[in-house]
Amino acid sequence: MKRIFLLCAVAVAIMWTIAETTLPSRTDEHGRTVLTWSTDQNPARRGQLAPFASQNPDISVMVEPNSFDRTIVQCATGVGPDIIEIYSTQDMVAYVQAGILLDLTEYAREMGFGPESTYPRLVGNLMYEGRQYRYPANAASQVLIYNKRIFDEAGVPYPTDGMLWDDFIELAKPLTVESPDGRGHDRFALVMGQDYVKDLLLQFGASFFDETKTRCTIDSPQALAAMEFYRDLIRVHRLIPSPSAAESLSAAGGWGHGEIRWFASEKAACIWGSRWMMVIFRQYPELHPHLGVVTLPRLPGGTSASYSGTRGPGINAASERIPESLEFLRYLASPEYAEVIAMSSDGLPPLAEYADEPERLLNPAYPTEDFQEVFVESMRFAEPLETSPFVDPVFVASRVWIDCMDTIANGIASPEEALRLAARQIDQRIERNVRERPDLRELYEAAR
Amino acid sequence: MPPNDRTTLLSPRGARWLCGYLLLCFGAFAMALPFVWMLLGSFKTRAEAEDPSFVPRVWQPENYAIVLRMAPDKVTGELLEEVRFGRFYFNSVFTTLAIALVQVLSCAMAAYAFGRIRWRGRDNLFFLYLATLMVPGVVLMIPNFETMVHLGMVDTYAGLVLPQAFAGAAMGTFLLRQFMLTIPPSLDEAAAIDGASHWRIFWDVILPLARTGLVTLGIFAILVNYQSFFWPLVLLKTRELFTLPVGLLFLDTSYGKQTELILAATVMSTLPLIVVFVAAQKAIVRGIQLGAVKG
Repeated sequence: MKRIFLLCAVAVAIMWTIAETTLPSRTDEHGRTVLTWSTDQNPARRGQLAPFASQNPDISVMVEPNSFDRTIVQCATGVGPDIIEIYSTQDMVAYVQAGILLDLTEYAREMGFGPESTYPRLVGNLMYEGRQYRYPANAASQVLIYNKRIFDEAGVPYPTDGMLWDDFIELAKPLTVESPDGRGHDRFALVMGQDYVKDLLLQFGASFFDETKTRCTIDSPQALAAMEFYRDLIRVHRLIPSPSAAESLSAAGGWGHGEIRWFASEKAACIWGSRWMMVIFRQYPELHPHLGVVTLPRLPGGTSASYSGTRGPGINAASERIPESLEFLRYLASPEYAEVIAMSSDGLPPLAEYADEPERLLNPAYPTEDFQEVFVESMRFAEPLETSPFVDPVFVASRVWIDCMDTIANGIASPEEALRLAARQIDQRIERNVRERPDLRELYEAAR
Repeated sequence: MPPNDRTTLLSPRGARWLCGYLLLCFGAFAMALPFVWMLLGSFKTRAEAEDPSFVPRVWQPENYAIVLRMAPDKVTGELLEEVRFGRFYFNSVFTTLAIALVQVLSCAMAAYAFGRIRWRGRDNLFFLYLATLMVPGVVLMIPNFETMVHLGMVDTYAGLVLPQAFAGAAMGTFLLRQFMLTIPPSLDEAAAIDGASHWRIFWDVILPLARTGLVTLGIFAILVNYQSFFWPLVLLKTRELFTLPVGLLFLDTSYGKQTELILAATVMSTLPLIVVFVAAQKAIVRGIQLGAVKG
């Protein structure tokens, strides 16, 4: 027995020695300052960092895996990354409320990466209670991307910019095709990720909170109309797959939204998407040349509204390399970085000046992407997602809203019941937070 | 027990036997289906990778070479620079073995103390020790990480191995204690009469007799820790330290999920577990039964 343990211990010791001796040096061999950037492990980051490296030869950026929970744990113990990639407004607010993010307002004003340098419709995604906490690495608003080949084969005319919903529904109905055995569908007219269903709330004039942010208004008549419309798109007009149909055919989760795969596999004629999806569609050479883009369908008298979004880093308030981290954010507001984003199609470049010359967004290597002005146009109708200081935005967006949509889409509850329940849950959480935190109570009383 | 004569298949006993085996075959088929889909999916192209179809329309065995950086990606035409699959594999195997070794040793010693030595408060302390099983791991995440920070073990192999090795201590100690309780105490007494110390009794008498339990615990430790994801994700920053579950995140980014490569990598990752499970399935079943029978 002793011999076995001894042999195992020796084997582990040998492997440990090999592992340790083959590790690269932790300190930069050129004596550069090493910034850690927590972001998704995207190979494109190399290209995006190249101009920064040449402009800042004394700074090296090391990419780390990104995860909300990971960042919270590391920052709570003082060893978080210097630069934290933030993918949603609700995550940003959660980080701010946890005291993790550095207030960038004064720095941004001095160094030129303030909100005035980016799209006005994106500013709300960078700010919390009037202070700036991140800068966009890209900008996104939603458009309708469609497959021309499917439309041609079905003999259906292409959708146009800002079509009325009624017209789009009639146009798109023939594009949903049942399976020959009648048990399912071979194709749907439209796929729409769960994140983007909120855009319908915007189009119908609904909002998550009232003006004071003290009460949830997701059960308003406008929100009800929006969710009934969503339910009808699934169950009455059959343009969008039901969640069960979608789950049976897609591998969703993580970055690989099932809807993107559906559309890329030509199981959907249209996708409610954004410019960053072009990066993925370029990987499908049989699909890519047949793509068209128009602004979203709209209600009569309404606009092609959608919630704006951004992948935007903030700085860890406890970082020991704040000046270098600020230089990184200044780089994001530079023309060099904007050009990299423009050519790679990873969303819109953060610099608003590209809105004046959409032709600068066209990558000559992909001449069929001659619809860049549509992405810029869609940003004109975009709005930032509203949040309330009295409730955890992740709770609202990731739990309550997802549950609400699931029950509506699966027909478990009527839109009215689901929305009433969601509003009640959010209001109860607001009440609980206000009751348990005196600082919030003061703010709450003042707001009301 | 199968019937001896083919004609008895028509008898009630034979029919029951046949039905039982058909049911088991169906269950085995249902369990194996996802693995079969995973294996076949690892040979698909990216466009086809998430189709529900089993058999690829276009076979692409190069997926394995792409993951191992021996061939460029079919779509981008570039090698996967970020995916150091061999290194991730080595880290996973090495850390899993290290964790299993430390866990088996430490749990064996604790089990000996709780099972073979009589001392005041032993049983109460053991119940308290077992009560730690009720604390969810996520609750301990920040305190454990803070301990690693103070000990300077963040982004190190030691930080990867030691907390994980002791994380399953209560369950492992309980398992081995149950094994050790089946060993007659007269053996300890005889060794003590001959002048053996507790340490001697532990190493030379008890451990050899508890070999089955040790193997069972070791296998459980391997099966659980090989797939550990969240702790390595939180602890590690340097790519060369990543284990397989964390390293495969490189294949799922905002530039798209490379499902066919993830499936190929997962097939290769799962091989050690399948080998361990097939080789030691009796020990695993025995370990699961142990707590149920002895209680």
